[in-house]
Amino acid sequence: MRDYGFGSGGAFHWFLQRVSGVVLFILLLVHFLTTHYFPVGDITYQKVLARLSQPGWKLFYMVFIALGLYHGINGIWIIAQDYVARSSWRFIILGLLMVAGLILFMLGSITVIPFKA
Amino acid sequence: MPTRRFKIFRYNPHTDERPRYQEYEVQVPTGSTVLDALNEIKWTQDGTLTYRRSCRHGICGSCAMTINGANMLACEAQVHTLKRDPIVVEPLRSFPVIKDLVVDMDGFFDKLLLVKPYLIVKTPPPTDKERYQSPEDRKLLDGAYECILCGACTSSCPSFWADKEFLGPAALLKAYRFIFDTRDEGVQERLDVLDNKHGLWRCHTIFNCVEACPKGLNPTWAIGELKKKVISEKF
Ligand code: FES
Repeated sequence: MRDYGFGSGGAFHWFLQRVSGVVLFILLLVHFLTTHYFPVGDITYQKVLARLSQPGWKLFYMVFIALGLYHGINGIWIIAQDYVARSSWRFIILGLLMVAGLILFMLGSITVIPFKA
Repeated sequence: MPTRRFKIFRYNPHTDERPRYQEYEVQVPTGSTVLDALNEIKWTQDGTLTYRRSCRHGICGSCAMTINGANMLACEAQVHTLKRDPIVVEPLRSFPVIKDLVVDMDGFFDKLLLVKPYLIVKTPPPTDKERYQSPEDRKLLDGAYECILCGACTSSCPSFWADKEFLGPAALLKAYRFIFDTRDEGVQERLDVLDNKHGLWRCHTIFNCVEACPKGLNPTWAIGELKKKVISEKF
């Protein structure tokens, strides 16, 4: 049975985990600064609406969602690889994680993309 | 002369159903090491106590064991520095116990062979001299060639506890020693073993190996360098 270690030995995903980590940190900083620390006036639904209606911010949050999900799910997968030796179990876990990731990504997308003022 | 108590892990698979601990009292003159105490027990109190030792000065790597919970060489562990009483002596964790403090190191050495711990060269050597290694090139290997293969690092590694197939810090440090040897041309051959689900990526920089190494080496750092090397080779 094939080893479910992401095709190669894992170099690519190890690297991407680091890159996504750094990018996420920056995105998170921007998100926190604009939303929580330096909002112009009080945070109101109208303001969030206005911001999230702009295509630039939509793209920002889609990237955020994609990278956040990748980073989190890959992290769980790495832990699973540490402790789960059986290929069949690895296959099941990887499958469940991918399905969960896909569902969450879809939920995120249908929230962010159609958002209109 | 001060007396110290030792609580020692005992297990004989032929007669014991499960491991047990046995206590001994030993007179320890100043300067005694744990190995001296074990010798004293074996030679004067209980000849059945089994452990490995050879050089008794920290170079053969046979006497690595867990002393008061930490991996060290029995021949280098000074009894007077060990505060806990009794001093608890156990075999290296996560290796199968053969008897008492003697563990099966076969898997450990098999993994060492997997990383091809020898110079791999493809170009013919110069006819009039040896392959050149400059002093700077030689310096790159400082901290990598001194490993005595005692197994203290691998046995202290939580990634190895979880995955017995994991190459472990000792084998990876050896891989570093050859991959970063400027005369070596075998990176590609070693890549599959390193970039593998039981290879480099199982190291999560926990640093236990650094703490355990009786030679003060830093396998975690070397593994980090190998990760960078593999990434740059592949992408
Ligand atoms: S007896 Fe050789 S290292 Fe301890």
